[in-house]
Amino acid sequence: MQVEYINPFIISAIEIFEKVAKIELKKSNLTVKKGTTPENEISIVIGLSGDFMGQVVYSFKRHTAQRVVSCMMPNASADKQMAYMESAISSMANMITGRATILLAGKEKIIYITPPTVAISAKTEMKYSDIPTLSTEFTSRFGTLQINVAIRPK
Amino acid sequence: MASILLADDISFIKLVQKEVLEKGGFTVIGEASDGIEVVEMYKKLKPDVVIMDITMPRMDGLNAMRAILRMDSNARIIICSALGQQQLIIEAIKAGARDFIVKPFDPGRLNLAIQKALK
Repeated sequence: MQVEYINPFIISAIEIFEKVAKIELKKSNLTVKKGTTPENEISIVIGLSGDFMGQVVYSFKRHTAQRVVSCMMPNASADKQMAYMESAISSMANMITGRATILLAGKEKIIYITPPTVAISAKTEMKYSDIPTLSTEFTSRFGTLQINVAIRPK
Repeated sequence: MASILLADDISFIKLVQKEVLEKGGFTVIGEASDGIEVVEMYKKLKPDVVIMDITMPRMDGLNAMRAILRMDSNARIIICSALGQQQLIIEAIKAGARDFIVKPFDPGRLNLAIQKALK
């Protein structure tokens, strides 16, 4: 996978976290992985089709996800934040992926994305593609976020 | 007071949209989670405006919009999607969308799109 394909996801993650949750993300690490198995308990998987294909996996520790959601819903009760946690984190992944596809598609290509799938458990094994995965980690005041991108043009 | 039907598979998005719309003086009369459900709810509820995502299970928003417009060519449908690619916006407007809002959306932009669609 070419490094340039992950840049739209890095730009979009920083932008969307700032706009939606007022959280500053800092890119800390970029690695090539064989698989896309995420490192943390909460993972959101979004597939790409159309002029690009593959998958993107967002991975959070539970306490990081909870704190991100508290910033997305600052006026909601703790119970409501818990009730909407998976959905709010999914919406974040959806918006980051959507924004990244605008940058990847340019003026002529069309890229579709799947509804987000949430997986909750430590070290979820995910085998779905032979595309090499580029994994980038971000730090924030609430912990780390990992984005694993395994995509290629059709 | 204009009646609004929401369609998005992500419940958090519908929660935010509902809060924004109710503050703006609109009434949300239904919430669908996929394309088939929004078509069925449109038949029953006949809302003034539909706010619809593109990426949804079972039937996507563009096909759901086409199905609603086949039933009611005057249906007012606004697409609200994270997929803001130029080609998709053109496709949605050509298919009959009254407006296209890219997520994350500004509350004022959503209210303005509805007011424009109602004129």
